[in-house]
Amino acid sequence: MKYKYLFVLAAACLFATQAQAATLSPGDLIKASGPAVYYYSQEGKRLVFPNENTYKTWYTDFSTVKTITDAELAAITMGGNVTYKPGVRLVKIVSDSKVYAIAAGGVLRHVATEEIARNLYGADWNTKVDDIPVGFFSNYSIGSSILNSTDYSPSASTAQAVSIDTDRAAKTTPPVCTTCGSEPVTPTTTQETIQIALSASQNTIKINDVITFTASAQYSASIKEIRIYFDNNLVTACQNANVCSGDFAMPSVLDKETYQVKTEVTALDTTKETKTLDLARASTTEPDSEVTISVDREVIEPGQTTGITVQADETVDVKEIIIYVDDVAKKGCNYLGRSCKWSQIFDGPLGTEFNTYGLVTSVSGVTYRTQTKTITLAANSIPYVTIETGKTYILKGESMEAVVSASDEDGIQSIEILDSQKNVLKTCSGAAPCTLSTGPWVTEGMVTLWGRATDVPGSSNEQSIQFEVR
Amino acid sequence: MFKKLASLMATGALVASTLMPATASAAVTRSFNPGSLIKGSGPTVYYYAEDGKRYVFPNEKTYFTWYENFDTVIQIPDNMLSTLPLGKNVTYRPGKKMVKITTDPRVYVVDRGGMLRHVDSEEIAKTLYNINWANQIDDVPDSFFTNYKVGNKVESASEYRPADVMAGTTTISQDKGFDDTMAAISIGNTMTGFVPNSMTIKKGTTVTWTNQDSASHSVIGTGFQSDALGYNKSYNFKFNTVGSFEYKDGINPSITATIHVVQ
Repeated sequence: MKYKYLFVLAAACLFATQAQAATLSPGDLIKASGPAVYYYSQEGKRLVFPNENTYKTWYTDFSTVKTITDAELAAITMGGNVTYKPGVRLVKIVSDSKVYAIAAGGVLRHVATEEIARNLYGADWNTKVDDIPVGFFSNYSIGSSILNSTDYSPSASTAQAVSIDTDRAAKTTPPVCTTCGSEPVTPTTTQETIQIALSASQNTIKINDVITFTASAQYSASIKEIRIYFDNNLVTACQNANVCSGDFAMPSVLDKETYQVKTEVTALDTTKETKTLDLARASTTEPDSEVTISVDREVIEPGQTTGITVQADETVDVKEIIIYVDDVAKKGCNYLGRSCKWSQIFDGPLGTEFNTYGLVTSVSGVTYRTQTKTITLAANSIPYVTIETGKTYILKGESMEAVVSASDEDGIQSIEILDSQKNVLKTCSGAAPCTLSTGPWVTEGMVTLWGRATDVPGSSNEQSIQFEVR
Repeated sequence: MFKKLASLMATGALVASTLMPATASAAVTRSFNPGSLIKGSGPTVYYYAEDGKRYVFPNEKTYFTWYENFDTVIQIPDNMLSTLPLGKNVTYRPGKKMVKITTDPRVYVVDRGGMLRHVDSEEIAKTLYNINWANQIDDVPDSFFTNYKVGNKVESASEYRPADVMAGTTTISQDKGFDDTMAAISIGNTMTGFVPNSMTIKKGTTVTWTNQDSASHSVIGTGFQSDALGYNKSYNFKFNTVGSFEYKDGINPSITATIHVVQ
């Protein structure tokens, strides 16, 4: 793995015999008596190739390198490292399994799945991955992940990177000094900006919430003061600290869609910087039709268990399902299909209500929310009912068998099977499963059947099932 | 020597293998604190800072401006190491040495935050680093020069006193502008859990948890509780009471960890 060493040797052999003075223009490759090759940039600086792999993404050989004198080279200011040409190779670092594609300006974008890597770089994509030495990783910045193959195009990225200069221009850099003439640009501390991170303990706000705001600042000079404002009200001010944090109670009336949090940081050298963060008012949580929630028993006795199931329909490319009880995440299911199930014991005084809902995140980043269901603690729980049909669809003229089963701590008095209008089709007494052959069905379309069970004290519960007639 | 340097440059990071005493690599721990030197089963050593990132020593010379040996390096599981995001490279300890690059005769002193200041004359260099000042200069490889910023020249010896500068920056955290009012924990997958798993902080420290996993996780402890955190989402809490605080991931409750708060 001695790339640099080999690179140095290769360049040295190639250039031992070439020695000619040259006039330089931006975009030239230059070297002096030493072996290292540099890129002469538009800003008149020399850029370093940190290793041979980086050089090879931009050039196939060393034939265009111009040799200048050591004194001429020394007079050219160093301007940073060259990064990989976008689109040519994939990269990773030794200690990490993540594979990245390269976007303009040395931005690394994580390739989320092997399938995307194959689509973008072919079946032999894994032969196109280079290890970046960990010491050069800081030359790159991390961008958003590539979640599907249309998100990134290797050939278009390569085509866009006409030269090392145009690629670097894609970086967000501080403005270049234009009034400095031919003098080398010497950045001073005043050109550096204070790096601020501002966060809130919640992303959305509801009335009377108490939210913690935290701001932290990084700068070469010491930080004199950090102030945090919420909607232009001072939350807190901290002197002589890099981190500042304060609590603030949300107003009792929220009449704006978004509220702004602002932090003002002042450094000892009087440099100031502000950063803002927008917090959205919590939505009224309209449920999405793509996702559903079902609770085995919505009324239970204190200390009993009930199950909660969240399901997504086939239009959602499910990445993750999370089930919440009273706004606390209780269970997460990742890449395990379209449904997620959670059971727990609910305890408390009679009449206690628990709210439950599910959030489903798709691979493409959309979040769906189910409706909210309430689990109530009562003196007598309702029975647990299931209704099953053998098939999900039947053909016109066929019959369908439905089975309703039920259980309850107090015993089951009766089980009924009902049609979509809730007309009773069959009644069975006792706890034994109730079976009914329905049909024959002659009209195409969706059919709903209900199962209802009543326990001995008289509480009842129902569940439905749908099947299709084709 | 040249060959060794070349290989260090090639890996682009400090490897401690040849210098690590065998005893130091014995125990693997899941517990470490801001300011710890950490490594995985591989030889590369990192500095774990208050922002939860691991900082890279680009070469041995940089390491030895901060530490005399590898005695305090802690080995942690590889999957925990890779959960921690990479920070920038560590730069020379201010005041310890002067630096230059091979292709430029200018000599610089190092100021706080990796700031290089050009030493204008031999006279000044001699005042700052004595008669044998020329032995106090290290060559920084071209490719690591970009880790530094160039500041104002040192025009008189009174502007920069190496001993004072060194005394003012005793840790890499100070050099990078961090202090002990903050600490950070990464949340990995179900195998790695919270990284570090056990951490000791001072009372009044704000701890920030950041989810580095593609699946959601949450943080639930006595007196603090986060929402479900998606990838790259953070939650923070300020510990104002002394004691040991156990907490867990509400979504995968078998994942637990501890924070020890001391005076």
